[in-house]
Amino acid sequence: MLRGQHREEAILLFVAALLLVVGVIVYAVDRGGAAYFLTGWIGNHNEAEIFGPLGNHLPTFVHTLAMILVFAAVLRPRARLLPAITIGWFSVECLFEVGQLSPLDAHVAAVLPAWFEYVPVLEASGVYFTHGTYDPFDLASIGFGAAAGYWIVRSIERGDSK
Amino acid sequence: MNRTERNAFPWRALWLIPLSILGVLTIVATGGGGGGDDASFDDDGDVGPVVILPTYNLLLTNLQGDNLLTAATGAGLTVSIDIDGILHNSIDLSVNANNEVTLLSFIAHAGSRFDLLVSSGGQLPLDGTVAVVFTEDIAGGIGAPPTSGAFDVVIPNETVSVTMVAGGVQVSLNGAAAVAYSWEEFGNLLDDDAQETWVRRASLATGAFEFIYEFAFNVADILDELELAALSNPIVQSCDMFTGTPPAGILAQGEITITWIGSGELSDGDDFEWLFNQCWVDEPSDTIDELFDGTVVLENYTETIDFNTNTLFEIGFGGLSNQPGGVIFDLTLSETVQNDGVFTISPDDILAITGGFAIIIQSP
Repeated sequence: MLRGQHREEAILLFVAALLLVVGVIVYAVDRGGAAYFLTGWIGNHNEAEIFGPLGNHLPTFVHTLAMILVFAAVLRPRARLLPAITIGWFSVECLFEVGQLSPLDAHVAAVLPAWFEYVPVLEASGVYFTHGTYDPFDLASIGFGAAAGYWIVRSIERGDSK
Repeated sequence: MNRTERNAFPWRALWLIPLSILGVLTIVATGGGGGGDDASFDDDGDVGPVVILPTYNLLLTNLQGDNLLTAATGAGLTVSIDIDGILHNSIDLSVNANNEVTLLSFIAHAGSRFDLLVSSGGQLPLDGTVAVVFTEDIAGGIGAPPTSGAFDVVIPNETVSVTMVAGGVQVSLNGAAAVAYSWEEFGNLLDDDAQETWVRRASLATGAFEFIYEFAFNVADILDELELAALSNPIVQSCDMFTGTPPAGILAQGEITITWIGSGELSDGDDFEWLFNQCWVDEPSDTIDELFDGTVVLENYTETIDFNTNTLFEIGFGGLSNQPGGVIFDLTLSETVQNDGVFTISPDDILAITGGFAIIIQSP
């Protein structure tokens, strides 16, 4: 049985994994497999609705939250690093979102190295910026994800100190 | 926290490196969805004719290695066009029942810029680098001069504003009163030694604008024929026949051959060769016409279909991120002049075109 700190870390990692699975389900079901990492895996491109309108912004929320939980688990029990982790992932996620804003998107795509084209996943980075959709509500969901991550980890830290 | 855990911390922190990479890659791998709207990727499923939208973005950038589009005249003037990042444009088009595309109109968006690198070996007062900055959206029909919009032609201490209006341009130096010209008058100013240098420079910049856009639209116009080229390789088309005695050594009727350099199905990375064999293009309304001779290589074809909607998302040659390929010229363009049924070519009116640009047409 896991005890103490290790148990808390395992919980954080488990919750993060669950959140990422939720994100995959959004893309696989609500968005009919319309994502690079699902290409070739999802045969039926018809979109069903599990999450409804919530599914529009759920991926950015869960990804931000999950990454904060994962980093917090790895760095536990360094509680003082939590603000840096939270701000760091909030910034990274926001930068990628804002990078889709036209005409910035084309400039970002233009400075990507040519060798990205030959690397799986990275080959999609140009299209990510030039044809991904900037949505201010995604920025809000990133903010909520970061706040939720901070709150969850802080709550666990408080539990440790009691 | 005990002593062992404190010591273990730096090693555990190393996990943050792959986790950070994984975190960023998972963002990219989603394709950039927002509000439920995603970028889409190639899929092998064939689901009927591809839907072509009525409007697309047309993006132009330099070839890899800055192999700049360059025109050298027989008179000793060499002009290279150095695109600053990406030229952003949009095109409107119509599609018939056979999915054949006709380009209708274009807008070159404000904020785009290219530089002209001008060299005449001191023969002309135009040598140097000139910035051409689009200050307003420039709009017009395909195959016709723009009807609205503006750009600045900038060198240190000198800004010439060129405003396009129906039938011509209005040109102003450093904010002074504008002078109006017809398109024909303005085009002729470049070769007029009696004109002030700033006017000739503006004429050159406008000519360069027309030059790059004309070639870009020509390439865009044949994109819908490439599938056919892959099926009945090569495609041979006759050019116009001279309506009088052709210039010495020139065929009365040349031809264009489009050859697909690939096998199997047309796919990303394929190349095409566009061979112009003394191809004369007759402009019935003009006594000056153009003769093309040489090759244009269309290298590194790219096409992406949005499999959710079966819509053409992206098509072109080369890429916007310094990928190899694009439209690469090794072409001679000569102006033919007709007098009493006899066509001639002046050595000064022969343009040798090299270099090129990458072209990507992308759904808006």
